[in-house]
Amino acid sequence: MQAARRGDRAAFGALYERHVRLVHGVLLARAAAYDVDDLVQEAFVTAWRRLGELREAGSFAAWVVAIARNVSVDHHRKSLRVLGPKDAMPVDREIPSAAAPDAPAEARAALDAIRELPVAYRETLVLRLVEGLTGPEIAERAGLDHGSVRVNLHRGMKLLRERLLGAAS
Amino acid sequence: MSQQDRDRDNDYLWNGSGTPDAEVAALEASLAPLRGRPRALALPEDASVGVTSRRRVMALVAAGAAAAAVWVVWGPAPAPITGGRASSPSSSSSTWQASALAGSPRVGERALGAQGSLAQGEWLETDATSRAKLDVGDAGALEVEPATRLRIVRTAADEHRIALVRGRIRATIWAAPRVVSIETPNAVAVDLGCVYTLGVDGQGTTELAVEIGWVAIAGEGREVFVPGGASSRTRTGAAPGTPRFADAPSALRDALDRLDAGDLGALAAALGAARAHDVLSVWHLLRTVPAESRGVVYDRLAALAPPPAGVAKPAILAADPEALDRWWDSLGLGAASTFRTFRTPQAP
Repeated sequence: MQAARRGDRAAFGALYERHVRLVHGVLLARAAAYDVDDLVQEAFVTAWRRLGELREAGSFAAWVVAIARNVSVDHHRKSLRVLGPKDAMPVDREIPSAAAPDAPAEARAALDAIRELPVAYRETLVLRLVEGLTGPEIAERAGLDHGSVRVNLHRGMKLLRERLLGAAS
Repeated sequence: MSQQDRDRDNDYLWNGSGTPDAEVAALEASLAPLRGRPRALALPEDASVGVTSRRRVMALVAAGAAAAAVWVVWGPAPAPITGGRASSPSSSSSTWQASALAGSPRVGERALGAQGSLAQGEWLETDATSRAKLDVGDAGALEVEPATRLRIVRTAADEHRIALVRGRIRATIWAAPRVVSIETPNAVAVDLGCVYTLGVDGQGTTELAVEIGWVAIAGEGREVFVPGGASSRTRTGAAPGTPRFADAPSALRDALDRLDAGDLGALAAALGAARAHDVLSVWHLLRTVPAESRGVVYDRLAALAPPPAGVAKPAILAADPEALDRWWDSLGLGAASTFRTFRTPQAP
């Protein structure tokens, strides 16, 4: 971290390698899959430019995740049609409807079902089921406590089962 | 075994150990094609590490990498706290993780240790030498500075409200816009996805300084959006103050403080001290000065950033919302229309 702060691009590259799946998952829970790679790049370029503002090196993961969320919000804002006040709704709920068009149908259906869940469950499940991070890894990398992640995983999985069963029937 | 029991005991879902849960494993297999296979990071040649200057913030905004904008809207604004009643929780989780970072913070009458909690309605208090960390559910985290007193007013899946009656917190929020709000004695700061500090001093003045993203702060029927790199001060009995960038000239900051306190005699000094980047503050003044003073504000803003074609002076002097929007849109601070999409009904 100290080397990255001094402008060492290779050191920042190591931070990228360590956190890219976390950031990818956070963005996949919020943006269309075909936009995610670009948004990941945007989030890390922003983090690189603003690294001097990070007060605690140990908070990098939570910080870059916050940047990624801001990037996704900004991306949605820019892609929204101009809405009148009656149509206004939280940007977070304006989620593109599908994964990448070339993704297998079952992957698209499963991702769509996850993205209908409340955001806390959505993000945790994407990190676990798509990115393959374990609960402890999610907690450690996102700066969350184990209890919160475990609760979100189990409650989210319960809701996801219900939705998938409902869709099947 | 019930599904609930199955979930509770599902170590495979938690850490991948034990007997694979068939349903979880099937989902993992289905979703694997979507897993990130990120390309190599491409840092622009001109990108360097450093504290982001205001000019760079503006560039980032223009590039869409970090939204920063300020916008003023009129209409019902959320009420500041009046001493604080706790609403009933709408979710089963009404307790947040809390921990001492230094000294001996207290939750109610008990000392807060390295692993504690704060329940809805309970007060978290730090003395002059203690600090604490508070997880805002799964929406973010607060660093609680010394001499601070706060509590959870309400926590639910889609809303977290905190009351800060004195002291200072630094918030890092990753929830959707408007999920987290912090009430102070004279304003409500509504998170729109960002990192910021919020403080309440001994006179009840609320100080908001945004590091990344933006925050809406509301009071006295007005809501102001404060971008990263800027701040706003809300005095008791007054609407949120004119936003200004952290590196604005001291003459401008002083003049804006006087204007916010009702001293219109400071207008000339404010306009004279404003630099090109201070269109943020000057545009704002178009909506807050009396109509008879709007002309000089128009002239100064026009000198700093000429209005786009079709925006006529009479329309600005009449405070025509569409004309003001169009001028705002031309300033490179983001589109006015987009901020309206964030406005949602506030909780009662």
